[in-house]
Amino acid sequence: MFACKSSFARRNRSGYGEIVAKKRFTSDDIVVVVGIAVIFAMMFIEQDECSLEYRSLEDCTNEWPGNQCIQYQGMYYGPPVDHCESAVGGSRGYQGNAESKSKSTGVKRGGFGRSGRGGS
Amino acid sequence: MNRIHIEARSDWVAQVEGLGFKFHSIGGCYWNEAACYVFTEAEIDLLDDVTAELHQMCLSAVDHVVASGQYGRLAIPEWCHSRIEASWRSGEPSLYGRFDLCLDPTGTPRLLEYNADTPTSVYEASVIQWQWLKEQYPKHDQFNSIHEKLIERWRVVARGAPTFHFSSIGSCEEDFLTTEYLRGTAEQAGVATRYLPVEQVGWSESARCFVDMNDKPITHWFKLYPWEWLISDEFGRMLPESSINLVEPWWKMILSNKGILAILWELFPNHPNLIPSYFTSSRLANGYVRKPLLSREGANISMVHGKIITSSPGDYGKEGWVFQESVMLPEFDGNHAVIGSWIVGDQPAGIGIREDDTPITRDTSRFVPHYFI
Repeated sequence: MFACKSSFARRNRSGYGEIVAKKRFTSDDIVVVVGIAVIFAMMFIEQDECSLEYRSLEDCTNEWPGNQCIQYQGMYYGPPVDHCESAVGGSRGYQGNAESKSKSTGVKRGGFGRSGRGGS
Repeated sequence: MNRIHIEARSDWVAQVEGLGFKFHSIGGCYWNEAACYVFTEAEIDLLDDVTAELHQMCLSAVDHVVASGQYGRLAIPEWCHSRIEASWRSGEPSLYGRFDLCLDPTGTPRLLEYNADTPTSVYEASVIQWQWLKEQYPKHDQFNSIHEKLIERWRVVARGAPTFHFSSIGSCEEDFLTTEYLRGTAEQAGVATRYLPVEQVGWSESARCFVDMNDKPITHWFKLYPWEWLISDEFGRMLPESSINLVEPWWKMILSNKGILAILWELFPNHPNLIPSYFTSSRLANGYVRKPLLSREGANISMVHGKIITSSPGDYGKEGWVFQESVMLPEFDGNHAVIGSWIVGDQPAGIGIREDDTPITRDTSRFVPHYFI
């Protein structure tokens, strides 16, 4: 069913026929991997001041010394920063007391979610 | 397909962690580069063709279920039916899926099951094993264009989305990192994204929509969270009322149900890439594998040959079961190997191999890289 296509074009990482074939022996693939590494480094290592989510207590404490970090559902969060999007910790940060927030905004949370894994 | 022992990179932990792959040792050993699988080009071509064909067969099966209204066989609640039909008929796009295949003694790939809703191991298949290849076997090739195809597919899936929200169970590192990887591919496609734990998704009583942590509407939502949990949670009944667009779409509820294996066998009897599967065990006198219609990570699976030979624990099964003819996974030095073959959009995109000491592949089954010659 794919007789008209080269087998290489179907499986190569970039997968776009002739253009890709030219790239096969260049360093483009390494560039892709390095690019991904940079993205992940930015995601998990560097923290802008509005992104207060940390993978470990140690990472959080390094940034926010003196018992300022909160553990919440397996993550660690620094304190709220006033000028960030949300007054309670930024878009990805700890939201404080969700119940009291619900009372003031009419937003209910916690209707999705259970323990364990969602992936398969 | 052969398995060879090789020397792991002395700094492999630093290498993979440098790419953000933190769950490399769950269960003691998850990422295993002290071995690898070697394929021939012909075998890879066959896997590519079979994956494409299975995907088309699955789409036909969805069409069949929707047209005939056979949702009851899959234990899908009645209130979901119209939304599934609307999703299918309007062509809501799918991002990806993973077919779990075994090679039979003749080398023919056969479908064990289809992870159509929340497939994981995508990051290790896409990025980690590619980096391994470039360092260990730079002159060889790998069946792997997952990353590029994901980026390409996001341009279709996220068309018109102001912001795509991404969610997983907040306490699960593996799910979180997988979701973050997928979010990264969406960002590379030019999509504005935001992550929030699924537990923090809010429902606005006044706006009658789902909202994020800043109370802003969620219009497009990637959830690494199973459909069957989504619809049975407290907020599930709000889904039809909201105008939220979901990835995977509603119609994937049909394919993520293991009952699809029996429906595929009905639609394509004796197809060489399928394994005989039924909603009853009575036609499988020579032994079978009993699988819950809804389950994850190899939970509640029993291998029966007159009596139960082996089984795995879990909390699934109340929705019903599917019975699949017992087939032996290819075994290499005591390792039972399953090939996870990725489909992104409508295109086969690559493979990742998982192996286990037992015939049942579980969440801790080892990921072993591959190349082909």
